[in-house]
Amino acid sequence: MRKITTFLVVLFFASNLVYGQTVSDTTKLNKESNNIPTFTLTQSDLSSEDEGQEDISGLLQASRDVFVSTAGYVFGPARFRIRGYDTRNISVMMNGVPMSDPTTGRAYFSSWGGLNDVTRNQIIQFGVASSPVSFGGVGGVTDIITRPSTFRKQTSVSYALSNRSYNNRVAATYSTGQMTNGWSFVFSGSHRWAQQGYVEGTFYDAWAYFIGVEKKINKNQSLSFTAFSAPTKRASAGMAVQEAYDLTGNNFYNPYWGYQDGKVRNSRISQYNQPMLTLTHYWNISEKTKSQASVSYWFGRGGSTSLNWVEANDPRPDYYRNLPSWYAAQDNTAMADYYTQMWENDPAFRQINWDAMYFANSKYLFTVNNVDGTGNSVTGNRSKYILEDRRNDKSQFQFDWHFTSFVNDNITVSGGVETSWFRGHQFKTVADLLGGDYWLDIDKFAETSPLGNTDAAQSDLNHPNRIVRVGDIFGYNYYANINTQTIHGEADFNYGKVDFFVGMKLSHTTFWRTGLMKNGLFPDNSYGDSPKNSFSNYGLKAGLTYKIDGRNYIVLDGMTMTQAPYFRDAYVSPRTRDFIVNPLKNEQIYSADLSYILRSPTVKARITAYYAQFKDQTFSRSFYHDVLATFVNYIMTGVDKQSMGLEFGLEANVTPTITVNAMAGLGQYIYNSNPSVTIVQDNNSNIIATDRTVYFKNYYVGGMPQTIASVGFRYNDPKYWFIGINGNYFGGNYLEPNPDRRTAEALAGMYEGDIRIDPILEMTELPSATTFDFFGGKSWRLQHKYTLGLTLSINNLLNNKNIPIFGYEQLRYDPTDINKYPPKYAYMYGTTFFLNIYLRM
Amino acid sequence: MKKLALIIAGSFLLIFSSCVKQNFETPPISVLPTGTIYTIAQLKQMRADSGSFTYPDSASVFGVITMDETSGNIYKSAYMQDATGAVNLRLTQSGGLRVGDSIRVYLKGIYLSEYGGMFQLDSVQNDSNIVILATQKYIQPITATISDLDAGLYQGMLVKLDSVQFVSSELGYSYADADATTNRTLENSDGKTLIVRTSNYASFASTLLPQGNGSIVGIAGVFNTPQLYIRSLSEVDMTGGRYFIENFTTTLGSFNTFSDAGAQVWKWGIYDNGCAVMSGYSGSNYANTDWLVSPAIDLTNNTGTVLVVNQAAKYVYDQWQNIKILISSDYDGTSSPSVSGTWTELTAPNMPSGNDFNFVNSGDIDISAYDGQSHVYIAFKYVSTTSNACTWEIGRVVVK
Repeated sequence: MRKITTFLVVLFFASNLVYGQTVSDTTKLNKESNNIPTFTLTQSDLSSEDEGQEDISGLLQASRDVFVSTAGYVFGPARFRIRGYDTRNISVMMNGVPMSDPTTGRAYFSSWGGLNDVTRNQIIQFGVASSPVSFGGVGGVTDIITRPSTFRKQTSVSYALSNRSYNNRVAATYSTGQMTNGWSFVFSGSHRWAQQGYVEGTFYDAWAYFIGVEKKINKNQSLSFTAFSAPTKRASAGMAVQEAYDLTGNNFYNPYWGYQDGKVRNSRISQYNQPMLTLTHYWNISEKTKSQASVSYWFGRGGSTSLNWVEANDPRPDYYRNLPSWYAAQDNTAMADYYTQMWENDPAFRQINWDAMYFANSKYLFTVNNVDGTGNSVTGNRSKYILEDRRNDKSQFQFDWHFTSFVNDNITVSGGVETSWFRGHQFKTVADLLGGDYWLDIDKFAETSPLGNTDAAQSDLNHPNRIVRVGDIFGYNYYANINTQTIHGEADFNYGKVDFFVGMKLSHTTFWRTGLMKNGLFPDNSYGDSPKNSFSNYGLKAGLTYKIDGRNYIVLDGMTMTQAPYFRDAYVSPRTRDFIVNPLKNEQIYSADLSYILRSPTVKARITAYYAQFKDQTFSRSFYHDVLATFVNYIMTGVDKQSMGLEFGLEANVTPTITVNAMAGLGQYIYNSNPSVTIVQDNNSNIIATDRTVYFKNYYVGGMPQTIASVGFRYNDPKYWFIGINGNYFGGNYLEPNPDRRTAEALAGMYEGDIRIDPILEMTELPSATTFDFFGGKSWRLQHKYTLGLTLSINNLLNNKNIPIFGYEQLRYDPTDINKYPPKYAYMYGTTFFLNIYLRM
Repeated sequence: MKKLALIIAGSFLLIFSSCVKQNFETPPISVLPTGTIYTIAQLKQMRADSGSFTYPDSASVFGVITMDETSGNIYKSAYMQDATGAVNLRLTQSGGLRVGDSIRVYLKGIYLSEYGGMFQLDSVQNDSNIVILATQKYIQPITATISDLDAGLYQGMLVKLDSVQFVSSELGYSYADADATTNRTLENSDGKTLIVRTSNYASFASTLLPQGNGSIVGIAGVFNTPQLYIRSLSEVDMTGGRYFIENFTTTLGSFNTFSDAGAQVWKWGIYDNGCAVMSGYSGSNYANTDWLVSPAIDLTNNTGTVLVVNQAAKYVYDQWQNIKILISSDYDGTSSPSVSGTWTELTAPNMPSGNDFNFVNSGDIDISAYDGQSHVYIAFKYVSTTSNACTWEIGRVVVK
């Protein structure tokens, strides 16, 4: 016992030692950095995807429903969302504890990336679902069971080879199962790494560990403790405009890396380490009733680095003025030709020039007077360029309790309570001074604002003219406090011909901002606690299954609920001030679906028609406007979205060894309101626009394929090997539209017949694509107790590297020349493989 | 069972087909009325007839932009052309129009005027007077000569002039001085000149003038006299061998004179816009031998060189041997040609009458035998005797 405790403690601290960080907070992944300003357009700081999809689409591949699992496995990497639902509409739980990030409502699969061995057991129900652990959202409930006593006795080690975001993975898991002395243990660990992943300039270094201990206290009670984390350090890939891809001849051109002294260095390093500790009490209160109560604490650091600069040239290699098209537009053919030549032929030219930044930092001798308000002066090389770490730490305490009671043979009642106290800490620190001596913490954008008042330039009036060095916090520093309480209940009725259930939930959410810096532009609205925002919400759901006979079923579901706004979308510019979006309203959601299901020994099929409406969503985006020299924040309210379509899934055992599967999704996900937008600038208290109408009605929600299909077969040989092939189709994928272009203001000065109007308004569809995947595996039983196996999956067999899977219109645009700021794209990887060899005993 | 399945399938399709999305909404798009449609020529006539005025009603004119502000050579301005002519648009704001834009100008509120002879539409608001209908409808330049422009043709239109070069006195200067809009001068082999006017804000303002002979494209603007505005240096192709042109506009220019005998010498005369004149008659005939010699002409890069001379001669009385046009490639350049150089006589296809003062263009005199020579001299040798002293006038000498 002692040895185990020591081992656990050592392992726990060892993981933190690896990154030399003291624990702090947050699960949010750099992918969703909408409220964190970045110097490239942030509407999506969406890096190209890896096999470990950050949101949970990849998770769904464990479902038994052929539509859902294919949607997860094949189409998840193409950012497909089942029914177009944002993943915040799916309740993801682990042992009944919600795993979503309260600031955005989304769960991130990468929080437990590398722990596949222990997270294999999942109960996935997509759509309006009957579940004892959560009311769910319109997207359903996914509960990952990692309860130690549910694992069987097994030891497994595996090694995998791949060419996706990482190249190697070793994993080992040891579980004892329920032992006679009442203890169960699970230990799992893995390391995934790559010096360079599929995209150039990206490295990957991720560890993961999981420890689970359970002790049966008595016949009816059990106590379990789990602790896990997935400390990850990796370099990101960025999206670029088509011109950059064309010039480099590479659809995976990555603008985030460059050479320093001949070595590759990436500027966007994301580093996460967020351990979660959970103590759960399982109690069979009576023959008919059982409950599960857990307390958990989830904390740690998260963040991603980025370049920052002052009084210097924009270091981004794909900044629009560093592209030949900028010069061609000014008829400067000599420069346009020079830039084209350099982009095509000089790899160092088209990437970040670290050496130039170090050089610039080595000679800017500068004296800062009245440093930190103390009256002292400091002279030294002031860094013009730095690498800053934008942090996203978290600390979350949850208490959850669920119960299920079998009232009689036909009726089951379940329900529970979920409470969460969350505090996210958003701030940034200096990661590297790039050869300089210090950085002066002044909002560089406000310095150029004509306010004539140096106070306005200060990030923190309590420490004006602050000099910061590596590790110091600067720029912005605030807590996002979010507390929620939910109570839910459900009653399930099972009769011969008909099953139905009804469920409800009531929840209450309170959130507020606590600023730790007194911003010079908003001195009265930045320091300390902001007013608290409270919302009360409800949900009602019902589902009915009519059994025509033992094989044919009809299912009808419906749900209506309200959702409190998320912290990230509620604050206009949380870095600098506590102003909230006006009006801040609950989102109203309702959905209905009708399915026909066939289950026979050889065929499983489902066809579903669904409809969902989301009303009064709020959405905010930020982007850096280089002419205004500041961040511009875009807040839309009154956004309505509608999802409807058909889903079809079929899995048939045409022979005992051959299975055919087919699935198709025909969806239509559109905006169906004309929202209202308010535009604000970070370095200025003026409002650029208020309540401007965005004519968005009937525009497709871009960024994901709306029509998908997959057909395949799988051959299972009785001698323990299998192979299979899938053909997949992706279509109906549109660029994410820029709302500001669909306003009357965008068309100012243009009249009917003007040729400039259509390019501004039109919706651009990405070309549809077809890919083929192969998978296969074999296992051997050795000496009656070992199983040795290998599985191989190969995606995109035809190595088609010209499939744009995602694109967005830039928020910055010029109405007289819509091609000046072209859309940015991300392409699907060519042929990739994953070969896993495992040994189990 | 089958019936039920069919009913279910049918209802699915029904639900789905009724929910097909409509076209997306657009922000409200205003309409700018067209009104009466005029051509540029009609508007120009209207203004010429009634004087400058502000157009009061709905009316429109269509055209294509032939010059924009991209190069910086013009500011808050553009040139528009249709099949009937061209007009200068004076814009209230910079930008918004590019060469090749096919536009409609809504005339209400626009002031029709002229400036130095150039027809203009003034106070054109990009936001409320212009609809861009198409882009990249590039207009090809009209091939024209300086004489055409002097005659008032193609005002404001896009033209191409061939076989022109900047006058030698301007070589070594840039298109524009650093601090002001500058005029430079082009000349052709007909002795005509044309101003090329460039703003010091043009992107090519500090580029040196091309030294060769060739073609140039630009807008044939007018400010009392024709002026050419260049759009882009890519349209200036003056890389051919430079012509030697001497017009004797105000002096004997680059020519030297040598008097071997007699008091009368070659002088400058006002005829033919300036000429060199020699006569051995001063009250009565005197014997003279006088040379008018060109500077060294470099034919190193030339092929098929010809000499063209504009000359007049009176009182010749058939003594054509007294006036000779000669060429040498070994003359020393400083002594009298009588003692230096091997001189070969040239014959002109067209000669003046010999008995009047009408200038006649000689036509092309083939001197291609001297191609490649670096120091070629043309000499006009005049001889008079006490019995014959004609008057010989050379209006222009061109070697090309």
